[in-house]
Amino acid sequence: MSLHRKKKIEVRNLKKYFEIAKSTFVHAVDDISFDIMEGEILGLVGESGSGKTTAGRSVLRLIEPDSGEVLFDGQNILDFDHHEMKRRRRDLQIIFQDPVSVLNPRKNVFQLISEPLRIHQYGGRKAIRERVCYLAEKVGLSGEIMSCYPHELDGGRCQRVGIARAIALDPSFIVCDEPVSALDVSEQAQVLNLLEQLSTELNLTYLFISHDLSVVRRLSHRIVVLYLGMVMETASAKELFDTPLHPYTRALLSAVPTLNIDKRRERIILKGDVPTPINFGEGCRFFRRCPQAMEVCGGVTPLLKEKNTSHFVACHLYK
Amino acid sequence: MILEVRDLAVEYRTLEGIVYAVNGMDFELQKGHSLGIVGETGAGKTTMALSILRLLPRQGVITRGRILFEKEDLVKAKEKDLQKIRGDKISMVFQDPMSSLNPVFTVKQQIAEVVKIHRQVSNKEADDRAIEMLRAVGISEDRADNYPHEFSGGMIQRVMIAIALSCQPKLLILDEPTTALDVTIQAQVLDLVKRLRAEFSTSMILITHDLGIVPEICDEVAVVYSGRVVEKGGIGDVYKDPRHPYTEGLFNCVPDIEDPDKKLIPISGLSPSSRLIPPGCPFHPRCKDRFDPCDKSAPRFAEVSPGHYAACYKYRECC
Amino acid sequence: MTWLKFCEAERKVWSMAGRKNQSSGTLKYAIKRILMIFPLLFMIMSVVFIMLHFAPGDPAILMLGPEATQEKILHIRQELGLDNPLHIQYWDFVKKLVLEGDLGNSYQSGRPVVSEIARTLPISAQLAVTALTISIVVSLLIGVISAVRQYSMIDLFTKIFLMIGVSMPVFWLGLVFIVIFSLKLGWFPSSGWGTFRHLVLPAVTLAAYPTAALTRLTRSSMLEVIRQDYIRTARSKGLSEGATIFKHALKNAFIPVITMIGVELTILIGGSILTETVFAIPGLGRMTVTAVFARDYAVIRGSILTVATLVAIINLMVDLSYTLFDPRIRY
Repeated sequence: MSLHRKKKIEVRNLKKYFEIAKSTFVHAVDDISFDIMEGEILGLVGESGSGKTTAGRSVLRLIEPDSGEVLFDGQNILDFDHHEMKRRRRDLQIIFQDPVSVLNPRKNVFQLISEPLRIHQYGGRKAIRERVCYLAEKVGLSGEIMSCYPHELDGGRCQRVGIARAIALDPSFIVCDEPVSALDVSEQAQVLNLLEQLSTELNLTYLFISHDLSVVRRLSHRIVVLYLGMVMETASAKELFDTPLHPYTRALLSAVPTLNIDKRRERIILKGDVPTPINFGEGCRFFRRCPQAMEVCGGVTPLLKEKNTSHFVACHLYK
Repeated sequence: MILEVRDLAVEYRTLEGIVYAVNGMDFELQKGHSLGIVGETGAGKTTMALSILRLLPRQGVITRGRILFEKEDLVKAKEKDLQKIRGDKISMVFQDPMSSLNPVFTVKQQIAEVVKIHRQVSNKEADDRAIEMLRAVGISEDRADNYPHEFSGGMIQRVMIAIALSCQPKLLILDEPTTALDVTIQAQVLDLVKRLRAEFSTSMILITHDLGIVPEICDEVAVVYSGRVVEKGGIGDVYKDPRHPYTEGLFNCVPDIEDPDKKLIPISGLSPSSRLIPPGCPFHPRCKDRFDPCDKSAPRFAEVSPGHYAACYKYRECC
Repeated sequence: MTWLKFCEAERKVWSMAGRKNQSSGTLKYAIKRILMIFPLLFMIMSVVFIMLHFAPGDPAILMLGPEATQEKILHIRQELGLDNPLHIQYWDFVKKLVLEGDLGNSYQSGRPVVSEIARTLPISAQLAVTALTISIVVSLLIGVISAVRQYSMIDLFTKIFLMIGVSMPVFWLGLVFIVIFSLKLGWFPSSGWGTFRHLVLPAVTLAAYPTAALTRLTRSSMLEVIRQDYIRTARSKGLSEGATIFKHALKNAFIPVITMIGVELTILIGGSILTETVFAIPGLGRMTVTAVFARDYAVIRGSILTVATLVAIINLMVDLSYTLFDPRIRY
């Protein structure tokens, strides 16, 4: 856990709605707030419809949020104009889910890694070449594959190329959007180890988005649990897993498979399906499936409150 | 013994060459038991499952081996006899629910169809049975006339289970049934399978790449690598005392929610190619315990403890 | 990934709107489409008027012959209203059509255009529908078989046949048929209209191209459908191969084919010109061509208006028919 207490990213009341038909909105991200300390890895977990991917992209303005603030080192990046934003992108990077489809199939590895350097006018040919070599070594890619094309590489290597690109301009913040979901287990382990290593070596701050709780538990310092576009619970990884407060978190954790056949949690089976967040009114998003739902839950949206130190939960059970 | 697979080999004859998907698979299933077949993507598990019911695509050819179901060799069976077995004695649930059902027929029609194929019943009786099965899987009757696109992934998977169990088959094969589903929905579906299995005493094969879900519903497990079974035995034996280097490698590189500080040790080397099969043990190029006999010929099973087998020269004399 | 979620959400919204709304939704859609036909026809007829106005050639001269006096020409032009400004001519046309149901009289024959069309349209329609029926039946059969037996001899012959069907000019084919089946074998008459035998050769000639087009589409659609997961599910239930193909696959494969059938039908009605000419059939196509040469504006306008209306209606019916075949499509 990083000792820095400086806040790197502060997300305040972020909202993003998508209009899919007349007066019908999908509340993809509905008033979420969280902080990420410098050097910290914040895990963002949720199932389909939770809004985690939209949230991750909105934080980087890859999708323009409808309202809210995203403070990066104290400044609201949503206020930046086009030029300022382009300048800041050196510092705010992203690693995507499917490495093979994200890389331009017509470019070789060298061109792919050097692209961000060229866009931001890093320097001359020699400077770029040196930097690319340094980056390749940092992510564990051998020199021979510089002239290879994405389709000639396996998923793990392609993802390393993606990571090399992301750290090319020495960013301080990287959004990792399901970076290992498309890899096989051994590649997953390699990439997770690499991400962890880079985080300490280069003092990087991550927003780590994933649906796989085992992976998130392994890597993150703190975790935010999303459900249908709203934050249900935020806590340190250890505390969330040892003492989950929100009924959704409890059900979610109980559903995660484990290799340890002696230590199995009591399964909480939820009723019903994950609904789509369309035209939601007041009330807790989890109301319909919650095994501990009370009457107030249907009418009043619970606010995110600090229950224990740095452990926040949005639930009427904790007043 | 309800199913015996002996030395099964299946290849795909494509324009770019031959893909050796299954290379001598060997396992068996006792009546009433359930077997988990685990392996990474491309290990040949799905191909093997499709071979049982001979549902391989046109390029897939079974080149050797036997699949004995109740003493009858399915590899040699005639198409007409296989049609009698499919859906009636052996049923299968496939991986991607959203594309598994015909979009132009209602779910009731698709369930009733399998009943009509194998039982001499009137249309009304078949429809009634369909509704009964829907209820058994937790879908209310008034959704019977809906079309597949009106359901979520989890519900379709339950419809698929309803179809598979309508004629009370002796063997149920589930091929990655929950891979495309959210973890809480996965818990629902697995719970359903557990209950129905107990109710109908069906023998079962569960195919998955997720080591964590096998202990949920299986008694035995077979670990597959590059088209061969490398280890098999009871859950307790294999999960607590894995013997094959690949199995050990798998357990070491997968994050576990109950063991958050576990160091992830990737398996060295690259995933195996299915076009070029090396001589000897399929795992030897990546095996840290490799020694002299490993690249000469593929090892046969050695019984490392009662009922627990590993195909590795560490435990048996060469050849 | 997000886009997929929206589509799923969208689908759920529409299905949540309930089955009761289904028929009223379709009705509203149909009415909206029918109303849209009027502005469409207005635009088409505007183009027709403008084009006729600026096309070289004077109907009066063509009617009267090269020796006509200037006086006579002017007189005829006045009678036909050709001296009025274009928008007055247009307005008169519309007035006459809406108030009296009258499309004017043919410059050539003097008979009402409406009756000329009433005489020729059924003939063209009969020819078109017969040709289309032949195409649909043949293309379904061959398309399905060659898809199911891909890479076989049947598939190979199908592909060759398709290539020929698409490349052969229809008038050449018609003439070849006349030479073989009329002149040499004497089985069918070479021209004229009236009996079933008169229908055969022209219908087969006209069917050549649509059959090729439809077969190609059926085949490729079928190829795609039989690779789908739900076909594998059907087989895994123990369904026979025949039922799998003709019950599960065909219904899905047919959906894109419907569009093409609609398109082909509209082409056939308006454009059977060449075939009607080769076989001397008194249909709408031939009448329109003759009218163009004679600058018979009245017939031209009436003809085009009729065909445009028919095309719009057929397109609407095709669109509505999707709801019968594909439950995912609801208006």
